[in-house]
Amino acid sequence: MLKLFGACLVVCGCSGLGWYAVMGYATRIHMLGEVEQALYFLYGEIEYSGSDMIELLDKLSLRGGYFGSFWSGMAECLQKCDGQRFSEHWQQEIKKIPEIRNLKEEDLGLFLEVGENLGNMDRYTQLHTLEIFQERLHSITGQARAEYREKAKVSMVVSVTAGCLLALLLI
Amino acid sequence: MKQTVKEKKAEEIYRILALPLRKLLKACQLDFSRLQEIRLRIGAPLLVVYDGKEHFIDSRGMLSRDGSRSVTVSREQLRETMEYISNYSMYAFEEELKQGYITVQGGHRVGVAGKMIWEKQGAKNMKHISFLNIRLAHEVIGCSDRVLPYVMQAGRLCHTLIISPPRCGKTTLLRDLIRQLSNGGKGFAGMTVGVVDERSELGACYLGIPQNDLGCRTDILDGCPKVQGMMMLVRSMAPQVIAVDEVGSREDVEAMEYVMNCGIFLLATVHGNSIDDIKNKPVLGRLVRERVFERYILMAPGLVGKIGSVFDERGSILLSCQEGREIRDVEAC
Repeated sequence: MLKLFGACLVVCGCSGLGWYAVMGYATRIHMLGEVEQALYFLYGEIEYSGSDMIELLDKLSLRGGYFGSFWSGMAECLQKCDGQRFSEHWQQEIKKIPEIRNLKEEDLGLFLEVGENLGNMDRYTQLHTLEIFQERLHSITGQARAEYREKAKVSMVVSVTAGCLLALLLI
Repeated sequence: MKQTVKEKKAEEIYRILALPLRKLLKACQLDFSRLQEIRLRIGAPLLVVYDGKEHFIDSRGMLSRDGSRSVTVSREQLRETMEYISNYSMYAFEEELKQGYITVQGGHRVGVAGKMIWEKQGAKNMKHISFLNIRLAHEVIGCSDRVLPYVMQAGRLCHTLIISPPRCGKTTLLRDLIRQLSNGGKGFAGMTVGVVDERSELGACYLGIPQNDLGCRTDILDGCPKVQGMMMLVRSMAPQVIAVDEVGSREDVEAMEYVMNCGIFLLATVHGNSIDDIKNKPVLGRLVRERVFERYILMAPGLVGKIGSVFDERGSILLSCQEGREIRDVEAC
């Protein structure tokens, strides 16, 4: 009886790990979607209202989500005028996002690049640069969405199978 | 209260300076109500215009007349200062850069110079910004007290033109006139004043809220070109008075005529040394010859914020001051 209970625990634990991995994939897609929306927002606001970065970041922070604290943190840092560059603040604030581990290296690289290219250009170049980032991000997000089902299925199957195998071995 | 205003001004200026320059200026312990300009040039000494005189700042944060010990402004410091001035958003100030200045919080004007990029239609943008001139705006409540009786005639405002060379305080005087006319005073009721604040110097609006007191009956069109702004105010805000700063172009003059023909009183400023200077201007001169303006206020040359004289439409002197002191009062209305 005890063995059976232990085996059930092992199977559940392994399935939980699989579920955790699946949640990670989903979070990544949600985070990429959020960044994509933020880029669209920035593009629209820069094109239409020409508002400055602090105002835009403040507005973005109101949306909340995974990046809510990042945008508000950025706006606060920029208001301090403490001698650091925009991109330096960007790098530091990214590290404070708890869910950032769900992003792949290429996602993070792109996000850092966005930070390096915001604010220091004329309007035309700024919009053009944002367009390029939007395209790149769109393709990354599309790929992540396409892979999600497959990866989720594999993760769940592998974790449950591994759990069962481990339980058998232990018994 | 006065201390608070000074501190606010100091904070506004410190905020836009690169960290090393900010520390130096803090060490100077300047009285910001007497500070007029801060000049930054890459590879050149840090200069301030204080009490109407030019001073260098040395590495200990002391004002000095000797440039050899002065701190030199670096490219990195200028870049950092530009980032703060533009709120890390150069794209947002593209139009201002074409004009050669950016107005920052508090209404202070930052003149910029560098490499201009031109295209067929005119200035496209500016890059390699290497020279900055931070001109501090000074709100002097009550500075128009002396001229107010002359611009009012039997409870009615006269079309008024304020004439002065740069840095003599015409914008400051206009700002206070607007405030007093809007609030109302002894012998006249408050008027609805429309202000076209193309350079954000009069109201110094920040996020739509004026930082300077322009009175309780004042509507401000911030960052709007003068010509379009005057038309918009006439059509939309039903003002009794329209105030504009630094007029001069043909379009400005046409818009001003339109405003006056609508029965709205006009307050305007223009660069010049005398009424004759304005008469000689190709377009604005016609309005002077046709006696469209009923009052001319001349600022005292070389004296910041001091009234020189007040004339009527015929050029007759109504008030004459020497070094800011009244020496002739012909006809106080």
